[in-house]
Amino acid sequence: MSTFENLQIALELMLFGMGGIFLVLFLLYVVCIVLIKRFPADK
Amino acid sequence: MEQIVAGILSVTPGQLIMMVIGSVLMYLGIKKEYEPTLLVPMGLGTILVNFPGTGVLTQMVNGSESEGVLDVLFEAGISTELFPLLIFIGIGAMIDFGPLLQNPFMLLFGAAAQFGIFFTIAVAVFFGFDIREAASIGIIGAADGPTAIFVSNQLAPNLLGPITVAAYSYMALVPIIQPIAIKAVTTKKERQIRMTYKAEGVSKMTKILFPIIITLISGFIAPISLPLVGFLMFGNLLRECGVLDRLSLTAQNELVNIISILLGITISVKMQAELFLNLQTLMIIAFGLVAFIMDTIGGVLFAKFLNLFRTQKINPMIGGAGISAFPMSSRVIQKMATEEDPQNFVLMYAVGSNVSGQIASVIAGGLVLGFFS
Repeated sequence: MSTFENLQIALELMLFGMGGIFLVLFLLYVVCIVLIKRFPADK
Repeated sequence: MEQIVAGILSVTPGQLIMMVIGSVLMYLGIKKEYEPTLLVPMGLGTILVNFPGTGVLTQMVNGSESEGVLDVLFEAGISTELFPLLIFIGIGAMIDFGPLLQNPFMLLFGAAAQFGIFFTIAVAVFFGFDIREAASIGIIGAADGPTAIFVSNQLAPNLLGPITVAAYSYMALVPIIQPIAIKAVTTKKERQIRMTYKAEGVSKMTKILFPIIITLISGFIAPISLPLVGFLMFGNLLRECGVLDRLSLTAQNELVNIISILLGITISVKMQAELFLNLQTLMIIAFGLVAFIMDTIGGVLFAKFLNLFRTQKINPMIGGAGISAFPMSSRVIQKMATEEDPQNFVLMYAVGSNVSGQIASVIAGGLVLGFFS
């Protein structure tokens, strides 16, 4: 495989990877908000 | 006497260089206290595997194969991925998600600070590495030793030695690397931004459900990441469930200690002169530094980008804490904040971002593996 083809795959991986991480962590952010609202800490 | 002379004469210059490298690793671990749990066993292991005809490696003796103890350990613990995964149970048991759950917004910085992984993959490819090798090199930017070992062992086992050395060395050098990278992309005024902190408690139920839900989400989105995420969260569940304190303490102490001893010395199988001494190793060490710098810059720039839309500004250094090197990175950020403004207290935000980096790094490792599966 040529360097150019590898670079193309690397850029695809960058999109897939960063997109995937942001998606998962955004979902976790939403989950956190829901959990904190649903199960508030005892005062 | 003849045997001693023959032994000394059969040592190659490469093996001697590796013995010096092993000694340097031990020096860094013992004298400088740079990741001693890995560098000290790895340093001595490097010396052990570089003697001509060493008995710690599998070799042919008088026509029959003699098994070496380090090769046996390597097959059992690294080839099977067992050692890094068992360490994850211990790490999970050590993590307190409390600061992150108090400021869930910090999760996004953990994501942004994984940018160095993917940037470095592109750089490594540009310098001629095969895409799978490049991905293994990029994962040094996860700033997480077990993840780097887990991923590189699957994608490019031939590079496991230098990748492990680079990953652990740069984790130890975070206090030097991060301030330089952060100062390069922030102004003094930005570093002085104060963030008010409201201490809010987190319920026990939230802390119990959080690791379970992370496992579920990761399982559906990137099932290949489950060995990493699942073991990490299993350890955290032991900690938080409240009825397994004995197991949690064992995971945090005895389990991690035993596996660390074995992991360090076993990795040194890949520190043989013929495997380690080449141009590729030097490039991997250089690219590892690029990964750490770009992780930090990615996190900081993301925080600066968010500040464009926020009325309550975030100190952009918090973004730099989104790497997995815990708690070193958050300490570095607090120290920098205090240097700029002695009254600035951003530690709890930095810890939240840092903990988020621990989650994000294992997910990044899983996603990289998922891409190639």
